[in-house]
Amino acid sequence: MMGIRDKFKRIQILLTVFQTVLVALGAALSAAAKVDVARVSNPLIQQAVIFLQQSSWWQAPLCILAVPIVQFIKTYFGSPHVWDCVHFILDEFRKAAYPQEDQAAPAAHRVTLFQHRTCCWLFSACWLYRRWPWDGWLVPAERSGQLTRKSRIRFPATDDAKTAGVAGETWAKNYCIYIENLPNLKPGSTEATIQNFAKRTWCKPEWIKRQLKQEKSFARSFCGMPIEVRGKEWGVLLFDSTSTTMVGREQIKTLVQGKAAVLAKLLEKT
Amino acid sequence: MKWLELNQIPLNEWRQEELNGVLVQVSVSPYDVPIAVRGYPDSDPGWFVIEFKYATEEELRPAEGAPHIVLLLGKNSGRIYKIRINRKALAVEKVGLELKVEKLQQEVSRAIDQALQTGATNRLSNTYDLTKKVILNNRKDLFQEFGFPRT
Repeated sequence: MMGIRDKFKRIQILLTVFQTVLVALGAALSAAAKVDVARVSNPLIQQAVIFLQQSSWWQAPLCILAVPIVQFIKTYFGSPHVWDCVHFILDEFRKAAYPQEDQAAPAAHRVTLFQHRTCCWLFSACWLYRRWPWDGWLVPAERSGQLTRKSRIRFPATDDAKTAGVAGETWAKNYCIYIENLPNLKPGSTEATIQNFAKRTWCKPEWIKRQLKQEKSFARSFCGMPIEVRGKEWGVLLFDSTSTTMVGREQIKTLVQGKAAVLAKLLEKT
Repeated sequence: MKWLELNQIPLNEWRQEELNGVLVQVSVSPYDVPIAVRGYPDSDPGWFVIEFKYATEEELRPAEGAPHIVLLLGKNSGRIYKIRINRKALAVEKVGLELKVEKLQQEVSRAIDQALQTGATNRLSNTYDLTKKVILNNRKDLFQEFGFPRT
């Protein structure tokens, strides 16, 4: 989602221009329909009016259909400015949560904002958790830093509270959850270590093994916090770090509370 | 009607809990921790209000419970945003001020417990405990303008 939205950001201006052209075309079509061609003296305008009148049978429906479609795409991805602000807030959270850690290692200490969505069409996730795409899922919406943004991670967050991962458990319980001193997973880790990690983070061992095969690094501490908009659970904020502890875990609650109103206003617009 | 700022950290400490067979540290969501509280006489005469301020706002609905203490809860979250107390109906014996405050605080706590029974969840139970703790810790300041009958 984040990766797609990053790409969308680049074509957003193009879509706005396209939408404006369509609206202008629609206006021109309705204006041209009432013009008497014989009375137009300028040959160039005359040709244009004739063209609009002759092609209105397909141009008018095109405008009527395309404008809301373009608008839907823009609304679905949200305003890039809003997401830029959310990204800035996540970076602030990250600085507060890991004040003594290397700030130049954004992939090692991350803050990810997961959004609860009704549907998830990533079938590998559905298969892994044996869940339907429409069961309810936590999907990464934004992440601090500039790295690891092309994430395909999804956690089930269903109505019957059958969840997975620290994010899923945070969603189901509506608590802040903190886990530290997790085992150091690396390729070649023993089955017992994998099982221990999976149990303590409510993850599937198969998923961990798959990630290890791809040589992905694993966090050693997690902190999940519920995110609300107008009193309703919107998603989860997940802090994960390769450090064994999260130094600023006390301060972060105060910071999240302080920024909650701004974050809620921004997320309302997404 | 001045807000009393609350220091959140002592209210919202991490504690150990077992979740699905895993021992983890948990704490109440920052959204459920009140930032400030105040007590003031309502514009409707005969009523007194205790109001809580949280990180975000939402629509309110009245909770079922005692008629002389009305809890106004968040429509979605179930958090206690306001407690309306009927000053006349609530019989406060002719005793010293401290005992009156104590009795009132106990009545409010009882009303909160009653509201919890109707919508009991683990999360709400912790949140309401926090609300009760806030009232208990600030009871003297909160009930300052209650207008107790003279002894």
